[in-house]
Amino acid sequence: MQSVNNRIIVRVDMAQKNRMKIGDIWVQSALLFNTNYREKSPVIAEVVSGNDKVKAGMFICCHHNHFYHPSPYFLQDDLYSIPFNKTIFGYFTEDGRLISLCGNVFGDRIEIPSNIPLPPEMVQKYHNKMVCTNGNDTKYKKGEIIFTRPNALYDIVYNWGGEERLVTKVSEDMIVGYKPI
Amino acid sequence: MPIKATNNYIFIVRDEEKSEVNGLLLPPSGVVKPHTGTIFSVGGKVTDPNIIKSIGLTALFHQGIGFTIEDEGNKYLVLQEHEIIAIK
Repeated sequence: MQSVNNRIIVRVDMAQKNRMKIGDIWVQSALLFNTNYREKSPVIAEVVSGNDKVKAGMFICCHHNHFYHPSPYFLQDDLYSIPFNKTIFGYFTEDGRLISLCGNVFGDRIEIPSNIPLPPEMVQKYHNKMVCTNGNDTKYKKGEIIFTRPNALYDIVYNWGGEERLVTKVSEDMIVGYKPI
Repeated sequence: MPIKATNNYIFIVRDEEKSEVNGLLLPPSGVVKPHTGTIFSVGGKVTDPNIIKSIGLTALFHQGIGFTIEDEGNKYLVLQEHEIIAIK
């Protein structure tokens, strides 16, 4: 089966929508991190038929909205044909890093400075500012400070072989400004 | 490096609020935020040619629109292109 019309075909195990085995490593986008402004259940999918940016065999992290029954994106068995747009957040590298795709920018939230030393659980972070760590196909480079619309930042929490990792994602069209380095 | 606007957003440095009228001090509840400011940066996807070349000029906009971002102690009002109603 071949993907067309700027779509890609992916395989998703609906029984374990948030869990996928990559090689020998279990990757899980767990539901237990129930904070605000988090992608509630990003789906890990295997690319079956891709394009010039994602090749067959790669594992991607995408929004959950396409994957349900009956879904217009459903093909057969566990295959879905999904549009290649900003709902695809990124792809996994062999060492478990998530690299952004489709105009998404990854970064780290910036802490709000405090006049007094605070314990880690009391430290607050800006809801509209982050440091870019991975812009990939966008114009934003690593280390640049990115300003976004209020609360446009979303966290993606995933578990790579038992190690909990977090990236903060923003879509390029929600960025209002940046500070070049 | 100074902050730069992107997409169709425009950064504006809002004019200062008047807390005094004819020698009378106004209480905070009586202070009205001015709906004018100086255009600081214009995003690359702004299409109006008059806005593109208006950096440093004064923009007029409606009350209560946009949102504020802060960078190194400076506050910028962020508006979209269509939210500016005039330039002088």
